[in-house]
Amino acid sequence: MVFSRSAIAFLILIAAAALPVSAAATSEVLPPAASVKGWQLREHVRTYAPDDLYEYIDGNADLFRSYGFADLAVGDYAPAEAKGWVSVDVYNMGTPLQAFGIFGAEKPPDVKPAPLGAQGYESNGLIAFWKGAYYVKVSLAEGEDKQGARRLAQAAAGRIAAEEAMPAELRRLPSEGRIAGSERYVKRGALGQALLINTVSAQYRIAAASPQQGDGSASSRAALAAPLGDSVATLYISDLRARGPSLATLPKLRKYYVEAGMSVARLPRLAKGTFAVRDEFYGEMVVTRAGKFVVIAAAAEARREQVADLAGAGAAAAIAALPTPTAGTRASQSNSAAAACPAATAQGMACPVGGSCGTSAPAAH
Amino acid sequence: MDRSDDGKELSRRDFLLRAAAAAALGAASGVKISEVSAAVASPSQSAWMKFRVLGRTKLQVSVLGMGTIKVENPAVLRAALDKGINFFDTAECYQGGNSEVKVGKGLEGRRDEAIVATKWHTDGSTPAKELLDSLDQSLKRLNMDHVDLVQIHGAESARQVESDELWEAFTQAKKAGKARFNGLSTHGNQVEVIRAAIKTGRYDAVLPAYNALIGERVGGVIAEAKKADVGVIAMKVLQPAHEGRSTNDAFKGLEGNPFQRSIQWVVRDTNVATGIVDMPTFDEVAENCAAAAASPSRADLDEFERAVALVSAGSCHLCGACTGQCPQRVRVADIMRCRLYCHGYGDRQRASELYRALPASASAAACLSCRQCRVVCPWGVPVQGRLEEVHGVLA
Repeated sequence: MVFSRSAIAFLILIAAAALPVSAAATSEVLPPAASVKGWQLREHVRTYAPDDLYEYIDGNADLFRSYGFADLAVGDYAPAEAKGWVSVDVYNMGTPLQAFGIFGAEKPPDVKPAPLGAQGYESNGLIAFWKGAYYVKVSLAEGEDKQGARRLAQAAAGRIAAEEAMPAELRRLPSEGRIAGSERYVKRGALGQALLINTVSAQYRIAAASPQQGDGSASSRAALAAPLGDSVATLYISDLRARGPSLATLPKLRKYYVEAGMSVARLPRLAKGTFAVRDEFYGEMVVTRAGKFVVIAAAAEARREQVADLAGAGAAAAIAALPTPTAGTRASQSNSAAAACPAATAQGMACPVGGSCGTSAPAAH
Repeated sequence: MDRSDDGKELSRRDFLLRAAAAAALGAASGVKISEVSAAVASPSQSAWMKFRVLGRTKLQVSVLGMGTIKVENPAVLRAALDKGINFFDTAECYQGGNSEVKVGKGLEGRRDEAIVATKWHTDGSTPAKELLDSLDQSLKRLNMDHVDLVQIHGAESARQVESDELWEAFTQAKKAGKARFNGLSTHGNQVEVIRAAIKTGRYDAVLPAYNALIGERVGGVIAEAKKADVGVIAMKVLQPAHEGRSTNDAFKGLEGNPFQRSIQWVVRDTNVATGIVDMPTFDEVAENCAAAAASPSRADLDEFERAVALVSAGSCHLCGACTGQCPQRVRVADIMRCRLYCHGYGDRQRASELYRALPASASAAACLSCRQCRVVCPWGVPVQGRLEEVHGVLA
C-alpha cells in the first residue's frame, strides 16, 4: 500500500492528537477539537498565569497560588447537536504533590469517587481529578450531558502521560488503619500553624476504648460511648527539612497552646518535647517529632494513650519512609545513633536524616 | 474585658451595642455617623481594634477583616474574633465550598459577634432562582440561617451591576431574611463598576482591590462610594508587600514590616470601612491585628509609599488602561501580557505562541513604521520601547 505525503502527514497529526502529553504545554492536555465524538472545542483556548488567574477564578486564585500554581488552560466544548457547553479547566500545579494538595483542598466532603486519573470525583455539575502535575475540573451546567462531560474528562486524563500513583510523600503515613481516600497535603499553615509546612495527613480508624481502659475523663467517656471501631483519628506529618533545624518547633507550638489557655501536658514516652493538649476543634492531640518531621495525632473521641500510639506510629513511619542511606553512611552513623536514638534502634536503622528525634539525647543528633 | 479610648472598660458586646445604638440614633436624627473612633481591645489584651461603619448598612465592622480563602483550622476564626476582628469574607467557590464550611464551624456559638459576607457568581443574566439556590447552598455549608452581606463575585461591567434579574434575586434574598445587605466584588474595570453601583442606588457595599500600588487609580471612586454611603471593603491589601518581595529590593531598609505597612496604608484611609486580608494561621492573625491597631506616623507611611513607588515604577500592572488607545489598533495590553510571560515567568515559548497568534495588524509590527506612540500608561511603562522589544524577541 502506498500513501501520499499529505496522507502520511495527516496520519501523523491524528496519531499526535491521540498521544498523551508529558512535559508539554498545559493546553495540550485539553482534548483536541473533534477528538471526543459529538463535541467541538469552541473558539480559542484561554490561558492564565499566576498574575492573572484571578480574572478567571477571582479570589480563589490565592489558594491555587499558595499551592504552586504554574498555569491554566481552559477549553469550552459544545455538543455538536445540542445547546450549552462544558468547560474543561486544566491547572498545571508544578508537581504531583501540589496537584494532589489543591485537589484535596477543594474536594467536598462525602463526594462520590470517580475512576479518573490518580483520584477523581463527581459532584453537582463538576467532575474533578488529578494526575501527574495536573488538576482538571470539568464543569457543566444543570441539564447538560453528563456522559459527554465524563468522556471529555477521560480524554483529558488519557492525554497526561503520568502514572496514576499517589504522591511518594504519602508513604510517611502508616498504612495500618488508614482510611482510604482521606489523605491530604497542606502546603503551609496546617492546623492554622505557620510553622507546619509540607504537611501530609490522613484519617485512621482506631479501636474505641474498652471500659477497662477508660480514665474517667470526658473524652474517655465519649470514647467509651462510641461503638467499637467508630473512633476516627487524624495524623499530620509536617516535613520541616527545608527549614533547617527544628529543635525549637515543639516548644513554639507548645507555647501557642499554653497562651491560648489550653491544658497542656508533657508526654515523656515519645520524643523529647512531646506534649498532649485538648483542642477545641481537634480534640485530644499529641504533638511529637521525628528528625525534622513534626508529627501530630488528634482525635475527638479517643483516649490520650491511643492518640499517642498513633503519633508514635507516625513518627516511626516518617523516618522509615526516608531513602535508605548508603552503606558507608549507615555504618558511620549507627554507632552513635544506636545509643542516642531508641526509636531508630527499634527500627534497626541509623538516624537517616542526620537530625534529631530528640528521644533521649538531642545534642547527639 | 475591653476598653474604650478613655480607658473605660467595655465588653465587646457592650461596645457593639452602644456603637450600633449611636449609629441608629444618628440615622434617626438625620446626623450622619460614618465612623466610630472608639477602639476595643481583645480579651487577651494583645491587640486593639478600631471599628468603622460600613456605609448605609450601619454595621460596625473592624477595620481589619478576615479573608478565608486558605483557612484550614476553624479555630483561627475564633482567634480573630478574640482579637477584635468581626468581619469575615468567604465565597461559594473558595476551596470548592470548604471555606464556607470552616467559617461556619469557626463561628459556631459566636455567630452574633460576627458579620459574615459571601458571594454568588453571575454575569448579570443568571436567573434569580439559580442565585437564590446558590445562596441556599452557601447557608447550608455555613450552617447559618442568614449572611449579613451577599455580593456579586467579580463584577466586571456596568451591565452586570444594573441587571434587574440580579436585583430581583437580592430583593428576594433580603425578603426571605437570608441576606441582610447586598454588594459586589470587582477586580477588573473597578472604576466603571463602582460608579455604576453608586448610580443604581441598589448597593449597600462594594469590595474592590485597593492598596498602595493602585491607590491613585481607585482612591477617587472609593471616596465617591463613601460619599454616597456605599460601604467600602478593600481587598488585595497585601499586594504591595508581595510584589515588593518578589520583584526587587524596594523594601530593603524600610522601617517596619512591609506586610504590616500595607495594612496600615489601607486602614489609614477612612473611606475604607474594612480591609480584608487572608490569614490562615494564628501568627498572621496576631501580626495583622497588631498592624491594624497601631498608628504609624505620617513619615512611616510616606517612606512606605516611596518604597512602593519603586516597586511599581515602569512595571506593567496588566490594568488594561492601554486598551484601545493605539490609533493603529495595536493590541497593546495583549502584547504586554506576552512580555510578562516571556520575562516575568520565563516561558518564552508560550509567549511567542501567543504573540504569533495575534493578527499581524494588531501586533507590534505596526510600531516599527509608526514611531509616534500615543499610548499613555498610568504606571509609566515606556510603551513604544517595550512593544518594539517584544516584537524583536517574539515575532
